[in-house]
Amino acid sequence: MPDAEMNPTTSNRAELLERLTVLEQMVNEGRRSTEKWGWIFILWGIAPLTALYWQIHWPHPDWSWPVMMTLAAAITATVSSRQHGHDPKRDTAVHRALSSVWAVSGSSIFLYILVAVLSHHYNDLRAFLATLFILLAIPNTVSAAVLRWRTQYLVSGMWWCAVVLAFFAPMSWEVPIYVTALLLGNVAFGIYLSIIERRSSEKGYARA
Amino acid sequence: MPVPELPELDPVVHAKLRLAVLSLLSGVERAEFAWLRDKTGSSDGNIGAHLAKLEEAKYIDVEKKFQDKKPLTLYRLTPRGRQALSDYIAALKQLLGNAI
Repeated sequence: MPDAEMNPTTSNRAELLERLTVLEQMVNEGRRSTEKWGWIFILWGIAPLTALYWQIHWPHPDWSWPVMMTLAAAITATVSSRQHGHDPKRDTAVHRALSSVWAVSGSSIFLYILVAVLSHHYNDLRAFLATLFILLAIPNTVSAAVLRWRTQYLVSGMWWCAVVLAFFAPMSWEVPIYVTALLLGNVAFGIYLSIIERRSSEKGYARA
Repeated sequence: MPVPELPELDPVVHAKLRLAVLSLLSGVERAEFAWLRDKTGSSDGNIGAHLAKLEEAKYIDVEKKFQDKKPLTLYRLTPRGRQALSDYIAALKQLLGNAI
């Protein structure tokens, strides 16, 4: 942006309108985020579904969850740090709040699944799944409230329904509930979010 | 009939690049030097000079630190800078009248 020192008292109308345009453009630029979150939802939808499939159909079922969870965590950490490294940052309170909520929730889910699977102490499948769904419902609800985003309210509502179903549905429904919730809440929402992010980056606006 | 007095525009804010920087900083808590440079499409030297003027006027704060052994310079709008930008916008509105 070329710049020249001007005497404001001699500024004509066109110059003042130009300043107004600069103001609008830059305020919008400041709100624009180049960060992408959709892929994380997709990854954390596919990884546990793959782990479940592995546990049932592939050899060494005991390795399925530790390997898939660790792999997903490693991919998340690597890609996130690369994204930050390539993109000079701006910091907002909303961005920091949501990043913190998701970082804490993600770490909690990772530890919860890993410890439960390694210890083999998840005999009560209903309680295990309900707790997992709560850990996913909370950050989605917080995000929806902070961003005032109706779509994410729907996603968080779906997770809370899954919590109720985990306790009240017949036992034979537990795995289908788990698969459906992950497909809707993480994979489908992640794809939707990726599409929104792509459109936003083209237009120059973003939610956080 | 007395002529209404027109407001004066703050010359520190009025320079286009400085106005761009203040507008960018108004929407964020803090921002890196490189982010400001990229968003304004400016060069290191040019934006550096304007940032120094804004810092001199105490409209922005600068924080220098290291991240992953690389120097990192962060800027944030001070309350004084936010007030100056608000006053500038109000003056601009008054000068432009019905155009906005």
